[in-house]
Amino acid sequence: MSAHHEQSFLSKYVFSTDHKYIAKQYTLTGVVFAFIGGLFAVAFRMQLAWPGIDVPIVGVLDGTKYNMLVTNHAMIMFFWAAMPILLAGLGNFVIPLMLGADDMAFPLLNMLSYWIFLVSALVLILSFMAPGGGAATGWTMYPPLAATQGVDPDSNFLVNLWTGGSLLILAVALEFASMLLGGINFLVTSINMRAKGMKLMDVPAVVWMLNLATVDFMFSVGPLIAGAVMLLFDRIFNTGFYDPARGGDPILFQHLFWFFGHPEVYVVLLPAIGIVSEIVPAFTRKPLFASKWIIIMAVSSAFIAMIVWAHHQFVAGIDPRMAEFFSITTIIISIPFAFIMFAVIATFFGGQIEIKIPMLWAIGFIVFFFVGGVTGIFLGSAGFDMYAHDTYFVVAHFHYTLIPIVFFAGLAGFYFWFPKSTGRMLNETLGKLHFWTTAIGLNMFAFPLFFSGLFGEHRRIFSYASYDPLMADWILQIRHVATYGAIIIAAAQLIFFLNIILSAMNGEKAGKNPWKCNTLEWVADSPPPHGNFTTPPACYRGPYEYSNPKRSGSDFWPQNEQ
Amino acid sequence: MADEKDYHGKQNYVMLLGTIAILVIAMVGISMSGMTGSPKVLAISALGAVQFYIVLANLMHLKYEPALINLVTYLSVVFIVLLILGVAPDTLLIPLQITE
Amino acid sequence: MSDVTLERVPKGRLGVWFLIAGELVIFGGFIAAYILARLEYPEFGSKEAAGALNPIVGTINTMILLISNWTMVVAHEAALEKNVAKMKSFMLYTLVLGLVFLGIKLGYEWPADFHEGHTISSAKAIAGAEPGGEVMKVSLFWSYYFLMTGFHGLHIVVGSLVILGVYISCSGGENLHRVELAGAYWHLVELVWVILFPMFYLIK
Repeated sequence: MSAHHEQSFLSKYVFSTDHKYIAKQYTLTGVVFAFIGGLFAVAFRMQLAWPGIDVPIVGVLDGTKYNMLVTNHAMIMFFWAAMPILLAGLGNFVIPLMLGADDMAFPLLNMLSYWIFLVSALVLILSFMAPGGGAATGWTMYPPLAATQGVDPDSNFLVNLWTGGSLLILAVALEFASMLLGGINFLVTSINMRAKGMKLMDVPAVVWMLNLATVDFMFSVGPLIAGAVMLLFDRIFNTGFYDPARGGDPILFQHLFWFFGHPEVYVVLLPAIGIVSEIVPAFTRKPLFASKWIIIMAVSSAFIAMIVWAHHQFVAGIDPRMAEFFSITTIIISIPFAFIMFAVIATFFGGQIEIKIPMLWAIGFIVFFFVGGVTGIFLGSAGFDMYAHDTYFVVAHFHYTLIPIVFFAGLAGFYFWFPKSTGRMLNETLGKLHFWTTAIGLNMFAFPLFFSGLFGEHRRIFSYASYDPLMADWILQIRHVATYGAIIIAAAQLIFFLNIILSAMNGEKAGKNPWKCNTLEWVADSPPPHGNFTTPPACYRGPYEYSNPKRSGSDFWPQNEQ
Repeated sequence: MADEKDYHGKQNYVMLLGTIAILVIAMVGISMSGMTGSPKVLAISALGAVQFYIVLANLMHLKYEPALINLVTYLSVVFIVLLILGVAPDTLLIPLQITE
Repeated sequence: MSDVTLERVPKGRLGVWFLIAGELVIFGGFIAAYILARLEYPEFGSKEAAGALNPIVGTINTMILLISNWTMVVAHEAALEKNVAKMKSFMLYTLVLGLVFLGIKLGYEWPADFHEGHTISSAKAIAGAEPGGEVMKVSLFWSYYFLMTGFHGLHIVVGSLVILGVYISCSGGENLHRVELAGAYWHLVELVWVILFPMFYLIK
């Protein structure tokens, strides 16, 4: 390929078809929305800690405003933060580079995917400005509330479309379309455009994980698109798909939602595991332990992920026999993930461990994700879940999985590949400060919630004033501590932004391969030019040949060197 | 790029489409016949499934594609079946034996 | 199955297969929801519901779509032989047949249904009816019918635009490999109809 003609400003920086720019666009958008979503959380946590407080910008929260913040916090974090950063941003950057390709298989489609994504983000913002404000239905958008909130059955469909709930559904649908199209690029590039000599098992783990995540996404999103269209039609065309009075069934929506909703969490987990799988070998100078089995386990977990969904519905009134089935599959899925985690940990043994910044975040991921993962096994058992469902125990569980995934693993990847993407190193000291404040914030926020949750503190309640047991001093303390933790997490990210700005102005120049890694992206310049490689690299071995005795004089053996 | 003619094999498209047309007529015939109940539904569904397969494997040349592509495409059908099986107990309210 | 390795499959075809798998799951979601509702409510088969659909018109439409798939296959074969004129004519025939399909559906079938009072929400018909009763269930049938045949029709429109786009980009005789991709999308539309037709019109 590559007629690297002079590009205009618009075609180079705005309507770029270069995968690296598209990656930057996705990542920047994701980070901006992560901040917005995070601030929503700080706002509603302030209400929980100090009921009736006048929250800056938002004002005093009533039940509806509180629900709006909770709903959109979750929606934003999943679809406009986690997905663009961990899947679209990461995948667009690393996949062509690690495969030795000059760009994605379909660069124009790639650009289109980003613009559809940006439109979806704008529709989301619009939803906050519609009459009645943003959707206040919970991110799960269960009918009948989600089918009727803000809707006037006697108005025409345009009026009902211009409501928070309807626009949110539209925004999510557009986001899905964008990710589906982007995913096609990932799969075709990974199959078709690998470097000469790169066999499937020579492909780095993170690329495998990104593709498995894409496949999981592709297979599971269809039923939710169908279900969401039906929900939207219930709102704007007054159909009765989920209205029992008209023969519909609300639990149908729940199933359609969670059929996607559960694989979605593995869609974000798999890339996170992939990032950590690249970083740990690099900073222990050892091959990734059992790398082939890690891939096999990841493939099997991607499949099992499709048959665990109703563990979100244990108390919704589903058939208890199905609850049995889903409990079993949910507990089984912990096995491949446990294997992967232990294999990554095994890589440390006997290694020459270097705690550089990406490694610190990777270790943080491993340690904190364990808490989330283990508590997931508790919740997978229907009996326990009957007690813990809708309490803060669940909130603590999923923040101990999602914050390690998005922040710890995501930031590990960011710090790791930032030198390649920009040609500059990030400051180690600021990075360490960023890490420790985020880690403290996470544990202050989420750990106490296990206890208040087990005691009975329920979710999605804006004030516990009418529940005396939940106004006990120790629980109020927990709410305060958790809120301070959330504020610390948000504030810690300011250190990150400072680090980026300082690095951009004056950062130490990174060479081609500052971390001395084997994979092909480190062969290109930092930053790589349009077209990535001056000559397309060939691949002679797997990606984890660190400290190989056959390679004299060096503790790493790049894939492209003979 | 692969030589498409060899890769996709020789097919008689008129025969294929003729077969589908005949299956359609058979399907309509069964539906308008006096049959009732599950045998009728099963027969019509089976004929539909055969047509689905012919379009997918022959008209779209899926059977000439590598195994992974076949797997991915048929898996999409499998997952929909799994979805139906997972949801059915809740919408169809299959009776639960509750002992006193 | 062939012994073509995965890496030898051309990019465009590979991408289209993933698109098709994704679309199949989307339609699969709708189909799953409908099957579940249909199994729950035999009322969907009654005279006012599926019974009101005209299987003869449905069969004619099915045959039209089938023939359009044949013309598309012929267009693809012509493209392989680099017979640009034949390729273009048969792509046009495909477009025309697709339009006829839409015309019959939107110009005859749907208006006939609207005339009987069946619309996507049947709001007038169900006013005052017993909650969860037969009238409500019949209206749910019509909601599913219009939703799904509407979505299918949308894909015919999109498929037609794709064929038109490829027609324009290939009229000079270049990029002929795109004809197959347009054909694949068109066959997807047929695949979905092969399921929708018996599901709505024949299983009563």
